[in-house]
Amino acid sequence: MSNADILMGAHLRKVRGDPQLSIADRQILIIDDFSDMRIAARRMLRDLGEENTDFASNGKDAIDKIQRTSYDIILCDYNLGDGKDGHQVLEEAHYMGFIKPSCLFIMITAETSRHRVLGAIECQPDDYIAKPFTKELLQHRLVKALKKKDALMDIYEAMFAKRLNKAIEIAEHKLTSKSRYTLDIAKLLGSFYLRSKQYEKAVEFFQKILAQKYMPWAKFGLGQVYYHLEKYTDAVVLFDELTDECKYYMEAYDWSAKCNLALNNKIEAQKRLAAAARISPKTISRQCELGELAKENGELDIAGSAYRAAIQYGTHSCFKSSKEYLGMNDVLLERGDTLKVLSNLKEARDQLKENPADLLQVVTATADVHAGKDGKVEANKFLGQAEKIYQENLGSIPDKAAMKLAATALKLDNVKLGTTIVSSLAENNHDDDVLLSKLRDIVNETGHADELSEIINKSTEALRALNKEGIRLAESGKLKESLELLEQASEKAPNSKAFNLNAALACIMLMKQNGVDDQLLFKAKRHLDRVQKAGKVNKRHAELTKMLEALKK
Amino acid sequence: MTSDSQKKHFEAALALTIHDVKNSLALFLDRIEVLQAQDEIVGKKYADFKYEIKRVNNNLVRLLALYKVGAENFALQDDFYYIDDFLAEIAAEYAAVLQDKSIKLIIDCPEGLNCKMDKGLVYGVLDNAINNAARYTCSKIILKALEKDGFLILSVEDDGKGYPEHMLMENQQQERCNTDIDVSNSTTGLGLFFSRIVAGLHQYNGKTGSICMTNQSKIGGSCFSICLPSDDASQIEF
Repeated sequence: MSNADILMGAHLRKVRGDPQLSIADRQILIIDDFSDMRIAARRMLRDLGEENTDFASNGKDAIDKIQRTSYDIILCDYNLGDGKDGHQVLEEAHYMGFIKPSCLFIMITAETSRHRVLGAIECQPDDYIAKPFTKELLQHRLVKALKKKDALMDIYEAMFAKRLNKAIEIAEHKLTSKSRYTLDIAKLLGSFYLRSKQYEKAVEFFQKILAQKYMPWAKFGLGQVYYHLEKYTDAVVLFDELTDECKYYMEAYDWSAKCNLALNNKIEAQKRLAAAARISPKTISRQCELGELAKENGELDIAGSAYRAAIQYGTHSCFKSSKEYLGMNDVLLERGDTLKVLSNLKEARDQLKENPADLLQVVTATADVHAGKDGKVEANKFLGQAEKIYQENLGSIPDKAAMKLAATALKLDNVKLGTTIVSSLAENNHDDDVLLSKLRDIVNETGHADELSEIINKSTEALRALNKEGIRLAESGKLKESLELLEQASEKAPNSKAFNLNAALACIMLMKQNGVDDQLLFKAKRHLDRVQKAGKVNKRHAELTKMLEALKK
Repeated sequence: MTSDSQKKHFEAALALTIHDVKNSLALFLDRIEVLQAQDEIVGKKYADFKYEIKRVNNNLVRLLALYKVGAENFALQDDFYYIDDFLAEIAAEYAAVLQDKSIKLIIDCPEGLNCKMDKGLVYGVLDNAINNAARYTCSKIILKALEKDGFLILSVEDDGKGYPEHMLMENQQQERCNTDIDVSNSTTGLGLFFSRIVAGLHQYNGKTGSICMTNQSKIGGSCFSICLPSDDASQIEF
């Protein structure tokens, strides 16, 4: 193919001559906890024409810089000392949407292998480079990654813009001619078929590949399709084969557990998650799920260590939440370990103080624990804190958290707070029978069952009638009147799925009749956003979002 | 302390130590490159240093790999790779070291060839072979890849004097009797031991990998090959 001694020179000349591969105008960030290493890395990039380089010495600093500057190339050491590791930096930047699709993220590690277990597969860097590396190797890898990015750029852009059909169209077209990236494109296309729920097409696609070559990702894709088609037993077979053949295919364990759960094999599901957690312990969501399952299966020791791992690895992660602390709380309560219960909750309050929804749940749980221990004064102190958080963050408190708070308030005889929350929950969820029945269960356990039930009935009936009237008006063609009514109603129950979605629909229908209108666009978006913020997204929300997007064009 | 937790502590210590040593090596490498950029004659003097740094690193990587292979539940981390890319990368990494030693590295690989392998381990094997070749060759090394009978064959050839006869004999005998290589007497033995383990770990479609040593290089010296089980069809039709 080439002669290595001319390779280096020719390589660089080619890079400098090709504007798409030159890095002269590119914004670069080098993340390493050793200043010598940062300087050394920059020196290596000099030969490629590096001009604009920033440095970060830890994960927090890196995230701050990535948020402010739109980097083209990020070189990040995996091991950053205390604080976030390289994968957590990547995950967080990705999750917050700070990284543009054309950005090249290269992870520098001490090991040559074991990359699969370092981070979640949905969020992988463009390449890994093992230390120590020569400048020639870095340049070779950079150029290779830049070329690949370039070849797949239009697909990434369509993905980033959430235009799935466009992405499918481009990928299908690219597959008609062979290239170096054929397998990469095929892998993406398979995932697009899955995401767009084209299951028949996906089955055919993956089976065709597997008939020709053993491709683990194709088997994984086929298993996912079977899951969605509710062929859980077939799916388990595929995922378990995959974990036998490729021990480090971490997602296959997760999906096998998911299928086993669908088949109600909780013990088997727990085994799969435990196996995955042993190999790759840093995924917080997996540890939490393992804790949850083990708790249900009565294996408190396993649950405890899973939650402990989730807490430990979550400390510096953007994915830490109240889930692992509350799971741990349950385990400790069941064990009767009073001292640890309180220290766990204290740690949770310190760790989660910047996220009101999580903090509220932990503070409520603290009040609950004190209430159970006959420490009324302490319990009321925390209830007061919880109330403050609730009032200050109305609209972004999940229903589950509000329900817990209501229950605790009623338990501590704070009827005023309990009633406020119960009636707000009933109003905002007048269209959700499952939630209402849970709410009734809570109410029935208190000494105020009758009055509170009456409040629930009154609030829901009135709002249901309003919603009906709104729909009737729309159906009889009075869209403006319908919208007006639904808007008023949604001021009373801002988190109501029914009001917001129907109001958004009315806006869209009005625009379809009379043409696009900025104010209606804004209103529709606001209603859809409210549903999203309340965590009540469903199929209809997705359809309406799509309709709104189509109108904008 | 239970043996389980001891093992865990040992693994953590090993990983941290290696990370630390690798950081030091990376700094060495950087300083030498700075020196070389400043003055060509001084630079030449340090060429050997770079070669030695690579050797220290390769030893480290090999040690870690061998430890892991010996540990419970070892599994390959294999994936499909384009071989021309893989070889070009090795060439890029060796370019400077070999240039300093006035050795020419030639790659001979058809485009589009791909194979399922644990890249890190196979890299270690080729690295060891190139290191050896660099020591014994006169002027050039050929890095060659070809597909034959469902195997991918990766070879390192040189134009030196070839392997000494006793080494070839020993290797053949060990292969025939399937005995272990004696690692205690030389580093060459260690390299072979590692290469044979890596080859044997590559199993696919009912076939197992192997290594092969001859003096039948086209350019007159030794030829080391690792054969990896591969697909019959390299390309997929969509």
